[in-house]
Order: sequence, then structure tokens, then C-alpha cells
Amino acid sequence: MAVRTDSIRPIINEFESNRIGMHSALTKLQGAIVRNQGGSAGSETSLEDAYLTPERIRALRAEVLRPLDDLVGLSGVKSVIESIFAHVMVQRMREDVNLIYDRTVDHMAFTGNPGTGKTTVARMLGQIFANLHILTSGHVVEVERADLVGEYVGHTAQKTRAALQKALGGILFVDEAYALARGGERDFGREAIDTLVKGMEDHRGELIVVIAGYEREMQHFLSLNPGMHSRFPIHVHFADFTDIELTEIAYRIAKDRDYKLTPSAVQALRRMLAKERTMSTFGNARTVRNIMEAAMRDQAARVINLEYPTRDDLMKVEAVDVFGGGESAPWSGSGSTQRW
Amino acid sequence: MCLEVARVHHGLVVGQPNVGKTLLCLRLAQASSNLVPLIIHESPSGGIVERRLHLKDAISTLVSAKPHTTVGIQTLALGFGVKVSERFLLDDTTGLTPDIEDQMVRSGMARTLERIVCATVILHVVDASAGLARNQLNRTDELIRSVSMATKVPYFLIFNKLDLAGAPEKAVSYRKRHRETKIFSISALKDIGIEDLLDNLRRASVVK
Ligand SMILES: Nc1nc2c(ncn2[C@@H]2O[C@H](COP(=O)(O)OP(=O)(O)OP(=O)(O)O)[C@@H](O)[C@H]2O)c(=O)[nH]1
Ligand SMILES: Nc1ncnc2c1ncn2[C@@H]1O[C@H](COP(=O)(O)OP(=O)(O)OP(=O)(O)O)[C@@H](O)[C@H]1O
Ligand SMILES: [Mg+2]
Ligand SMILES: [Mg+2]
Repeated sequence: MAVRTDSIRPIINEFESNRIGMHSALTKLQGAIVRNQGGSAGSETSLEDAYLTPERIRALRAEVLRPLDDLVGLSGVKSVIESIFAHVMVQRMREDVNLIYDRTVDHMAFTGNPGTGKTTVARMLGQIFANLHILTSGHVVEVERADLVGEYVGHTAQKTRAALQKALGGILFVDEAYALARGGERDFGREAIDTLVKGMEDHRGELIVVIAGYEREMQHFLSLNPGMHSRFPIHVHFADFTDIELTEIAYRIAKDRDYKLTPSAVQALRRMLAKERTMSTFGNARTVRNIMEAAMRDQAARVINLEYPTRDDLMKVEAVDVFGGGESAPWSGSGSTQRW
Repeated sequence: MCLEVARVHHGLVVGQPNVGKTLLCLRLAQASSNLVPLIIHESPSGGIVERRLHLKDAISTLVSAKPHTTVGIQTLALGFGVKVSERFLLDDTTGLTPDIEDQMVRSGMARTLERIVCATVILHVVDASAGLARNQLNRTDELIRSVSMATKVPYFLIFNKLDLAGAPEKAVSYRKRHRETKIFSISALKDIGIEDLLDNLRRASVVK
């Protein structure tokens, strides 16, 4: 083989003089071999690259969990993910010294009201777990009852298996999982649950199933089906956002799109949120998003009438834009619960 | 560091300590009718000892349940072929592991690492009875596998100790997930699967 031995000499020396460990040496050796063949050795900072020193763990944590840190609020969610990260790191260290380890991450149940970020977090987790080499691809397949339950005997198992198959290497996100149990004994939903559970066993370690939905219904569902609780050992609750958090989300939405909220617009937003919160259609962050999108549309309708709008005019969202010009605000009614 | 002998095939036997590398080498010699192999032992610091041993004696002196029985490179020839181009040398090596206490052993592992780029075939031995988690090799083995694959020489992954409980299932489930890898299930102790492995070595070493 055409590898020049002088290119690997330094690596061997580093290893032999105990400056690097075995895993690091093997990884570097591979890099040298690949480079020698004119290929690219891949990222030097990959997880597999080196022994887990405290600095490395800190750097990895910062890098891998950053998107999650950037989310507003969700402190409960963040601390659960933090403990999963710790589990993964410790298992990796155990593996390095040949102790028994388990690299799999358990399946999870996400509970919380609409718009509290369950889907958003699931998508991020896919990426995080892929970066930590827990999942091979980290994509998220979102399904609900209609995607799993079929029309005739056998159809359901087939549809559910197809969904599982599609999610291999990533996350299967089952929205309103309890809807599967709603039809009673003869309903095909049962078959979907059974197929799902079997698939989780057959494909242990190859995908993570996240079931999501309202807290109360989820608790009921998990208690109805003994064994379900232990199959979804990680429970993450997404609390409603506070008004301060919702306002912060509004600021971020504006900033991301080069808009800015005037103080009076923020006041208006606060007032609207207080009213929205009392309604059954309240959708937390989604409501804010809808209000903001409507406000940006209304801002355009207002600004088009200005003669020579300045840069500032083009950016500013005023209270009138937020209120939508009166009683029949475009965000009200079905608008605030619409899925995006 | 590579022995530059023209067109001699060098099979490198690598793996973690105690997985059965040495016993496998001796079994392969036996199966290839080299019943009194010449065994050349090169210590980590370069000292060389040559001995010709009967297989039975070789097994009783070179194989043991103690990890790091082999420290250094231990070479023997397989008995097939008379032409030089068909000569096949097997390099038995110091087992690779991340926890190393002894400097001599560390140097032994350094000798193993440097041989990886010299091999014309790599035989990676794993203990199929030991903690294989969910169709995955442990990390050391996973890294040995990647570095071996990177060399682009023929790579054989050998699940040894098939005779022990749980081993066959693990080998089968691993094979299911890694169809692209050439996998052998053997027992060096019970002499199972050695002929097949030898056949494949022979075929992989036909001069091109
Ligand atoms: N049950 C069983 N034991 C085996 C098998 N192959 C090897 N052994 C045992 O495993 C132990 C280690 O065998 P060795 O051949 O010395 O292993 P090695 O990989 O060369 O070990 P080091 O040189 O110490 O790294 C010995 O006790 C062998 O008898 C096998 O197929 N089945
Ligand atoms: N912490 C957050 N910071 C900023 N934006 C957020 C946050 N959480 C959610 N969002 C935004 O709110 C919207 C709704 O979030 P998401 O779809 O994740 O909610 P959900 O809990 O899955 O809701 P549902 O149960 O109705 O499906 C998305 O547009 C998302 O970008
Ligand atoms: Mg959702
Ligand atoms: Mg040995």
C-alpha cells in the first residue's frame, strides 16, 4: 500500500510517548492514511477524534447544544437534554476504558400545550443526536393517527412499519399519540400501537420515538397501557410561555426578519397576549408568530401609503400594525391556531 | 518499518488483547500444513528471537488467558504455495486497548499501529462472546475497523470464540447490519471455520 511511512511516524511517536491515547492515535492514523491517498480526512474536531478531556466536553456541549440554548424559555426541556448529554458523554468515557456501556438514548414523551415548542425541539434533537453519533441521520418524521392507521386489516401494520422504516436513523415524532387509543378495542389504532412498540424493540438504538401531546391526555394514555410508561422513560414537559418569554419570542421574530417593534407595539402585543391567553385557541409561541406575521402584513399596508418611507419606516412595526387596525384583527379566530 | 520484501503477502492480525489472535495464527498455520512453523518474535525495542516450534508446543507457550501474552510482532509463514509470490506471512501483534499501564506494552501497540500501513491483508479479530452492544463493535474495534478500511487492502472481520454462549447470535446480528464487510465466524479453540478463512486468505493473496 502506498502510504508513506514517514507521514505516520509522528503519530506513532506521540502515542508511544504517551502524549495521545489509543483512540486518538487510531483516528489520526486513519486521517493520515486518507490524506495520503489524496482524500479528505473529514473534520478534525469530530466526536470520534479524541479522548474526552474536560475542555473537549465543554466545547462539544457548546457546539452541539447551542441551537437549544438559543430557544426562549423552556428551562425544564433544557435541563432534560442536558442530562441526556451527560449520559452520552459518560457512556463514551466508560467505553474508552472498556467498561460496560449503553450508548442508546431512550424514547421520549413530550407533553405541553399547542405552540410550546414540542415539534421545534424534536427537530433540534434529531440534529443534536446525529452530532453526538446517537443517530445516524437525525431526520424527523412527523406522523399523526391518520398516517399510521389504515382502512382494513393489515393495512395499519403496513403503514406503521413504513413510518418506522422511514424514520430509521432519526426520530419518529408521533403527534397526539393518544389519538391511537381513542377508538376502543376494535379500532385499528391498537394495531398501530402494537406495531410501533414491536418496531421500537426490533430497531433498538436505530431510531428514537417521541410521542407528543397534551399533558392530561398523555398521562391517561400512558396509564391505560401498562408497559407504555417504561417504554417512554424520558418525560419532557413544555410549560406555557410567560408573557415575558412570549414578548422575547416576538422580538426575535422581528429581529430575524429585519423588523423592529416600537415600545407602543410591545405594549399592544402584551395586551393582545393577555386576551389570547384566556381563549381556548391560545397557541403560545404560535400565536405570537401569527400576530407578528399579521402585524408585518399590516405594516406593509400602512407603509405603502407613506410618500418616501425611510429605512426606519420600513423596519418599524407600530402599535396600530399589531392591533390590525381594529376589531376584526386578521390574527383572531382560526388564524391563531392554524398550523404553519 | 515495513518489511520491503517484494510481493510477499503480509497478513496483519489485529484486535484487542486476549481475543485469540495468537491461537488463530497457529490454527491457520496448522490448516495450511505448516505443522512446525518458524516463529519470529520481534520485541517492541527491536530484539529478534526465532524459534521453530511444533504446533502443540507453540499453543501451550504462546497462547494464554492472560492479556498481553503477545507483546511485539510475532511472524509466521503460512504453508501454502512454493513460489515466493505465494508466500504468506502472518504478523501476530500486541492487542490494542485504550487502557495501558505498562510502557513496554504501549511500545508493543505502537509497533502494531505502524504495521497497519504495511499489511496486504488485515485480519481483525474480535471476541464474539464479549459485550457487543446492539450490533455495534465497541469503540476501539470500531476505530480499528475504520483505519483498516482506510488502507483499502482486503479486510476480514473475524468473530472468534463462537463456541461460547451468545457469540453466534451476536455474530449473526452484526453481519445483518454490515453486509458490506467480509465477516467470518470462527472458533480458534474448537477449530471451526478456519478452513474457510484460509481459503479466503489464499484467494485474497493471488498475485495481481
Ligand atoms: N472459548 C474460546 N476461547 C478461545 C478461543 N480462541 C482463543 N481462546 C482463548 O482466549 C485466550 C487468549 O488467546 P490468545 O490467542 O492468547 O489471544 P491473543 O489475542 O493473542 O491475546 P494477547 O496476545 O494477550 O493479546 C486463551 O485463553 C485462549 O485459549 C475460542 O475460539 N474459544
Ligand atoms: N422557545 C421558542 N423560542 C422561539 N420560538 C419558538 C419557541 N418555541 C416554539 N417557537 C415557535 O413557535 C411555533 C410553534 O412551535 P411548535 O410547532 O414547535 O409547537 P408544538 O408544541 O409542536 O405545537 P403543537 O402541539 O400545536 O404541534 C413555531 O413557529 C416555533 O418556531
Ligand atoms: Mg407540533
Ligand atoms: Mg497473543
